[in-house]
Amino acid sequence: MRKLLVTLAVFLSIFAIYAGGTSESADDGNITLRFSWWGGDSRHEATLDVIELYESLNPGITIEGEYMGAVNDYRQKLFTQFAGQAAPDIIQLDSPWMPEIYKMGDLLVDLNTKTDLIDISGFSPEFLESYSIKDGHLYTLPTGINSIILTINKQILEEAGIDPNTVWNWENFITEGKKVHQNDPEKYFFNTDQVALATVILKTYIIQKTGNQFLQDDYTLGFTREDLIEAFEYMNRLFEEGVVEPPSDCFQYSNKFEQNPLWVNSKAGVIATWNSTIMMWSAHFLDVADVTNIPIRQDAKNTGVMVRPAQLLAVNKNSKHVDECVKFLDFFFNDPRAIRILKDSRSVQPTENARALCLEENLTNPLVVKAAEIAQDKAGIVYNDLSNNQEFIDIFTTFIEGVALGRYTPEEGADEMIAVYTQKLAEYKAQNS
Amino acid sequence: MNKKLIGVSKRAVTSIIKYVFLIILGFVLVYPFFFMVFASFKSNEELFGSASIFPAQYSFEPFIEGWQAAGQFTFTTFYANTFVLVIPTVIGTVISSVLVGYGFARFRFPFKKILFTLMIATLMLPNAILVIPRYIIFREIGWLDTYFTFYIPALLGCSSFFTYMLLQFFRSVPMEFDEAAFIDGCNSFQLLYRVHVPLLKPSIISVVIFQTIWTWNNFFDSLIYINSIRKFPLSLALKLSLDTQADVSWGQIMAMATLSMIPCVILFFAMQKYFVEGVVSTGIKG
Amino acid sequence: MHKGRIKELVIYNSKRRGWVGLLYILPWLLGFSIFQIYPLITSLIYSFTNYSFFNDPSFTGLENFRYAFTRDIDFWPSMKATILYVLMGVPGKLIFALFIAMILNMKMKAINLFRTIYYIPSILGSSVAVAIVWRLMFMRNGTVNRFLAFLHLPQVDWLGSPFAALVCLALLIVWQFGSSMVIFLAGLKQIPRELYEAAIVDGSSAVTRFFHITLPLLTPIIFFNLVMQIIAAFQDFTSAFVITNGGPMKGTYLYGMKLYTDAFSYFKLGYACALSWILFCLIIFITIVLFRTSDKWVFYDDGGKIL
Repeated sequence: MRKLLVTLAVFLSIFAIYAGGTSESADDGNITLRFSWWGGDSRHEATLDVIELYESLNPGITIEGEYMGAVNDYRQKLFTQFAGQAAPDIIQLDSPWMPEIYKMGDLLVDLNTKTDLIDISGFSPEFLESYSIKDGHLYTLPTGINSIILTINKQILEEAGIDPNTVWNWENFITEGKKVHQNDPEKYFFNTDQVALATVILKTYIIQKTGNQFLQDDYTLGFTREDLIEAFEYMNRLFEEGVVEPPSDCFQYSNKFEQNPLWVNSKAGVIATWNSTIMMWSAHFLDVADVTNIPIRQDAKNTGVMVRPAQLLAVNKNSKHVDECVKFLDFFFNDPRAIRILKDSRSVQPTENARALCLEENLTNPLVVKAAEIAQDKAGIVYNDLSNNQEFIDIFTTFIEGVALGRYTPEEGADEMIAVYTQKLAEYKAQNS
Repeated sequence: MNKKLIGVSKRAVTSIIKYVFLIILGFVLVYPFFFMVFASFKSNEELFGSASIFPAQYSFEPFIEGWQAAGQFTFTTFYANTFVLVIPTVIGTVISSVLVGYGFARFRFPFKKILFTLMIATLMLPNAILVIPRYIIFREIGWLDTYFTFYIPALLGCSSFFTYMLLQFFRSVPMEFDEAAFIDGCNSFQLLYRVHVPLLKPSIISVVIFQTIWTWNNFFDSLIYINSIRKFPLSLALKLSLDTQADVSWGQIMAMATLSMIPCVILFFAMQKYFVEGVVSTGIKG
Repeated sequence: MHKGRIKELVIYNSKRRGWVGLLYILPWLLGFSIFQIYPLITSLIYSFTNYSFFNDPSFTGLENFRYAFTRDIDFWPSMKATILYVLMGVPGKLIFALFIAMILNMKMKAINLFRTIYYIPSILGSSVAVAIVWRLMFMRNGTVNRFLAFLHLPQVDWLGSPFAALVCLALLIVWQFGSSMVIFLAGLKQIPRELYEAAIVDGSSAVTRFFHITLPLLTPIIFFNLVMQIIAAFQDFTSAFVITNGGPMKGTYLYGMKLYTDAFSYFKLGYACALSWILFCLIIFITIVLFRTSDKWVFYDDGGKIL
């Protein structure tokens, strides 16, 4: 019996060490850093390759990649980690999250204090000023410039007799777009989901009409009831005319429309997406792929075309090895060997030197370059914090589902959504004043 | 005579109908498992295109690729993590529920009635109400992202279900055993491990297998408490492989789902009589 | 020597020295106070505050509860979905379990084999692996629809319509009927055979026998199972999280998911605590109602002791 107890005690203490002990407590000089990001397979591979290279150049340093596919799943996990004080050391972020992250406290390292370890001269100061700097502190570094564009499978369009060089507006998006499904009942013109409808299609539709922020800084709506009804009606036409697959099908791929078999099996012609994802989501038809701007109405008061940092990288203030993290970031952004591996896996490279190198060595896919150029040409309003707020997007998404699936008429949907938005805006106003 | 014959054949017919029904039902019930195993060998096209449950070919590629999971972390890590998470939790549960069950079954002490009622009441206490404050406690102590979040509650008898289960068994052991052992000079602890533990071996095994399978499959607590991928148990890893791939290869996911279940399936078939005993004794759940 | 021990035995049997017993239950006493009572109390306190990790909490009175009942757009839909889910899943499971237990109780061969097979789903059913399988099987072009097509039945867009998705989750509960079945089977075995024989002599039909003998004698077990299963089903999370992620149109946004999202995605911890207390009160209410009405339908032959 005593023997049993002793064995048990030993056993338990071994497990306890394993369970509680972390790599930081190891005394052999080895350092483990956690680096988290989201993306598709090609980004995962490129990033892991850079990590491997860095580890081989810096013995004693291990970098654990923690990555996910869908950005919303990633966001949820990351925020839980922040709350649990268990966030990774190096973190990929999305710019719409920043207001919330700043509100959560002093979580990130001010990189301005680490300029001896990292060279930030290659980044555009204006860009840093608008997206990375808060109260004079440089909390993040952008991985590139991102913009919303349409990625087109020319073959599918041509099969249906659509000119791939069409300049899209909302009307010909339907009149031309419906030809794909008419031509081949298995195929559809446009592949999307309820979240993309909310964040890209309908929001842009409304902004082009009003020229306002979607939600204005004074906590009021940037649109009227009629604007919203019109947008919902437009969405219903997309479904009714067979431009988009029926909502009950495509809504199953909420937040991951790129996983829709329709898209994976090249049965849809167009997606609206960030240019950072072109290489990941269109890999299966790159030879017939093209990019173009999203639909823009002729009398648009603002194009609504979103241009913003692809992602942001930051260092966790709670990290035990802040300096090592910063050094890795320096390698990640500035070292030619890293740039050659990463290429355009996070959109067009952010620093001047890197862009020059990519151009010189032909490392960036011309489509990605083209996407960045055409979108910047039509760049629209810079979204404010409220318009990017996740809670408001979630509500919009719910109502889009409701209207598309016939639970509400566009009028009812608009009325109810405006009621909810008004109430939420009042809450936010009360909180922030 | 004739009537009797008809009676017999009628009974035979009903009994055949019953068996056919039971067999079909059994097939329907285990179908998801077969589906999972066979889907492991299929590509997405085959999975959604072909009507046959059997794959066109048996290739172990999905198993090999799925095992690689998230780049630097393979299912080797997740498998090992699961054992490291489950084993001490189960040991802790056994120790605490044996001690506490014994204490309640064989001793009289102040406030016993109230404490016993409270213990029984916690059987019905929803976990949902404890999760947030517990999370805050663990956060304060700095135990988040460690397995202590599982070990310590187990060691402190927080699964009153098992305490209750063992308690029922302790009660069924006749007092004469205690008296005999006492006359032989045992103290109460010697009595416990020399007399009761051997007698209760089957029930202890029930505790072990139930807690093993529950902890093995526990998703919610792991989701909240365990944050870094390096420490993910299988349940989280499966959800992760669903989330990491932009284009989900269901074959690989099903392959990993199959592998993640194997230990539980083996345990179940090896120990099934204890399962039934455990369920019946408490009449609660399983 | 021997005599001395007998004397001690008498003491042992009569007094069972208080501190020894307490020593044995000490682990539980600690666990109970640290991980059950303390959280219960703090949770109640938090529920009256706007506690979150990132601000200093302030006392807001009943505001959280008022917000849940009157303004939270997800509260009532989530509550409705959860109640519907429990109403479909739990009775379905118990009725099915009883039905199969009755069949298996009819002196059949290979009972153990069937019992084992039927029991498998309840052992493995709560795992993520099964939830993923479920999701795959109930997809629009998945196995279930293909089977319906084979039977020339209309296909259902399981994960595409809110109600069908809820049914799909409830089916997962019913599928795990095995553990209840095993319990019922054990209960059935304890019913004295003479009761049935006497009833047959009296000429009562099988249906009458079921309603006058079997069901009344099983009610204590059914009752206890009902209560425990309802408590568990009200908190279900994994299936909704993995299979439908609360959708479509939040039609399967079960209460457990709402709690999780508010607590760990929006970090409204105070509010989430209030939500958990609402759930707790609802569960207590249902339990009390069941207990109150139980003397009408639950038959105890030992004077009402189930524990």
